[in-house]
Amino acid sequence: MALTREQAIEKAVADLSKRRNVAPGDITVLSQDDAQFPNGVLGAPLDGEISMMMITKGWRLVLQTKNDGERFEYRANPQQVRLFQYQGSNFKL
Amino acid sequence: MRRSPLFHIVAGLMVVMVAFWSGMIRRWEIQRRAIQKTVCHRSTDDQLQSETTPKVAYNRPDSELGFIVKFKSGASKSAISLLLERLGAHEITTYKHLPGFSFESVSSSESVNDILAKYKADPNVEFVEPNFVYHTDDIWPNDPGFNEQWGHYNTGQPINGGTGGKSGVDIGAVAAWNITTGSEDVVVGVIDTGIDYTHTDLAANMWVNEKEIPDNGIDDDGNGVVDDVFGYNAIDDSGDPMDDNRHGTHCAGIIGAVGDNDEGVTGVNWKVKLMALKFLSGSGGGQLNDALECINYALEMKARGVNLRVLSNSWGGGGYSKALEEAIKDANEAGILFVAAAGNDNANNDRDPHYPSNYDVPNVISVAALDRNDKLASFSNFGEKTVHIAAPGVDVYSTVLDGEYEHLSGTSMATPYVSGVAALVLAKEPKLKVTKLKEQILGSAVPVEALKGKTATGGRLNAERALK
Repeated sequence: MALTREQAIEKAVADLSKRRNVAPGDITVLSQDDAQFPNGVLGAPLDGEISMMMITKGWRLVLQTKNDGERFEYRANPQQVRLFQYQGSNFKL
Repeated sequence: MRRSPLFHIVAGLMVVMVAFWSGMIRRWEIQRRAIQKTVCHRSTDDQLQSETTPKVAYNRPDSELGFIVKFKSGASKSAISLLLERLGAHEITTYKHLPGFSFESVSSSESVNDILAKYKADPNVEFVEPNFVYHTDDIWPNDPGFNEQWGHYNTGQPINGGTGGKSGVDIGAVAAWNITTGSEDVVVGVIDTGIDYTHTDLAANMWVNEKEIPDNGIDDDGNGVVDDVFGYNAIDDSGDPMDDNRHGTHCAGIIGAVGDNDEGVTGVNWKVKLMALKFLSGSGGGQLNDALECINYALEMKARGVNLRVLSNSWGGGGYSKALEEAIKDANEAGILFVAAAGNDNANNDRDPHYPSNYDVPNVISVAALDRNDKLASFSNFGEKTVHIAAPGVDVYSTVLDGEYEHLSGTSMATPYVSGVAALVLAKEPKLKVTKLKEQILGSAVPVEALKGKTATGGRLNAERALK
């Protein structure tokens, strides 16, 4: 089922909440901008992942945990949500 | 009270006058719409072409455009002179028995549409149209979306509701089609997200495995895949490569959307056979193993007699893989050209390799994306050694799911342009070996200043030159 931007944000918040062990209410969505990514995996490939080479529209979501002020970038489109470069790796939710 | 005869005469005259001017207004409106429907095109041979029937072209020097103008009766000579001076136009001839008509030449770098607009804005001009030259043997597709396919033919026409590009920046498809429009004997494998084989602008050009009886649940031809009528799906190891993204369908359309069928768009090949090889998922990602399975299937079918000559690969990533390199070498041994996207990170592939486009195997062609102003696309990877050629890759109009069409961008789109031209060359020269095929494509690239030092050829794909 195609994700809306709001649904993508919810998934990102839920993921970050679990990943950083913080309550969803302690996460701020700093920005949720339209973006264009260089490929079908939103420029956030998993290790060894291959991707179609098409400019892909989506959303760049920047979240911040209130306790430490750290920022995290999620990339999403109607088909997927990915965490970009978290501790050196990309993750697909 | 009885009215006088004079009253009736005047009333009758008024009715006649109203009828006359109504007819004139209707005629002018019809002419206005006819002119607005006409779009002039410019081929790589510097010819003006129009998409209204009959098909048209106009031979002219590089800097001159020709127009037929009808000035309104009563337009003064001085007003006409002023107009010509403003447009940089000069009169070539008038017609003794066609009052008000004039054949004019305009020295301008502006597009035909821009010049037409300036003429029409002048109150002394009744109507204006480009000078048409009629050929009885023009090869010109009647697909209504053709005007959006700047990569095939670029006159500077507006694309996707936006701006136009630079006239002549295209692959010379119209000129190429005078030589061949493709062949159903040539099979191109599209390794991708699948193909919507039900799309009405693709269906007739789908490769069909004649040895499979559709949907009987039996591997009739014993190739290890059940009901593989249109190709193979490596993700679920099935015979159904239906596209669940749109990317593969778009690439397939660039190669071979049915041409001249009065529908949608046309591929570089009006006729060809497209084999669907799905390994990328609906979200656009894929795994090495599945890519290998697709190549394996292609080689199997080649060994069984399918004339598969080109594999089109609008994908990349995953780093160096010896297994994939070996598979591409096997394809080379089987005489199959492997066309691959260079990538979209605005990166130098000579420094940071991108695979599979960077594999140094003789049958690999690595493709960068060009925009309609003859510049390397802002996102496109490049590499003087490892990226071979550029092809149209920005706002490319082609087939997508559900019978629709869309503009998409990427080296994904540039890649099937090269695959399509390879298929066109093979339609004309079916016995051409893969190394010669690659040489012919690369050797015929049109030099482009913006690509110097960015690609090995420094040039733009050109179908007509590749065919000669």
